[in-house]
Amino acid sequence: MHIQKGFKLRPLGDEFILVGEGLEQINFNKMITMNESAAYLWDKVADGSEFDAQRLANLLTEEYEVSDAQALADAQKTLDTWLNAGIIE
Amino acid sequence: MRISEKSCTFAPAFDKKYPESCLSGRKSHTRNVVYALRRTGGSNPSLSAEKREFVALFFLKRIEMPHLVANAILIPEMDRMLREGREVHFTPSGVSMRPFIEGGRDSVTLERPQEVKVGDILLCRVAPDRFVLHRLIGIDGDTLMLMGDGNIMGTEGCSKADVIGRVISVTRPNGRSHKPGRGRWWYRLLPVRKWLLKAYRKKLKWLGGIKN
Repeated sequence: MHIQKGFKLRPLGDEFILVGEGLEQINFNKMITMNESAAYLWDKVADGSEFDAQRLANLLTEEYEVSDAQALADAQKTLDTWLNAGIIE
Repeated sequence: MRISEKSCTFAPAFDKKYPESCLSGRKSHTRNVVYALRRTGGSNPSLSAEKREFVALFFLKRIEMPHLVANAILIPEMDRMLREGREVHFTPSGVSMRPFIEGGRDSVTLERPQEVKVGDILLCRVAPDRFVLHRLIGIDGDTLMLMGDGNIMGTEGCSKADVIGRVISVTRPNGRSHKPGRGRWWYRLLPVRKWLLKAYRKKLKWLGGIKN
């Protein structure tokens, strides 16, 4: 997996929103938001490198105090959401 | 961990303390306070003065601030995007632009205007954390006078620098978009607007489109 090019993460209050860089029109009704940890993961894979749920889970355990199992479950969930949102391929 | 496709309806943040300045300077303020007190039992003498005021203010905000379209976080972000030359699409809330924009139902597209003209529908900052999406009814030098189409009294003033965006199209729930009108004839109907709005509200209610 790798991220779709052309997205930029912008801070919005305590969260982050993902905005298409070349987009002429920003639809605030359909916005992709990320919390701090999701944004952290996105930032780490933003260079376009390949990743899977395991790599995301490793990144999580490096940064946060979570068990491996919990991290993997969260990573998988994040991956699925990203895939559904069409922001990774 | 969460990522969501969030629907932002820009409902006013009632839990935030509202700046005092926003509560003054409106003709209907006193009437609304009385109404709020009556409605909420805020005049109940068994409550402390402080509590009474809190109750009254809480409901006052609900009564007087429905035209508040945004919270202090999202609009500055929109502002940045508009300044970058992008267009911004969102669903405003409130009834103050009836009958042309129905809050929570219609969505609008904004752009950063080069020049504003009377009749434009503008998103403006009218106080540090207070934003309105209202029609421009007058220009006096650098000062702009705004009024919601769905309001029968009460105007807001701001300077040209406070303009964040101009509505370039309104989108209905069926997906159809149109360019908003200039509202000229609607402004002339101001003396009878009260009854027209009443009729409009009745029609919406009858159609089941709205609750209030």
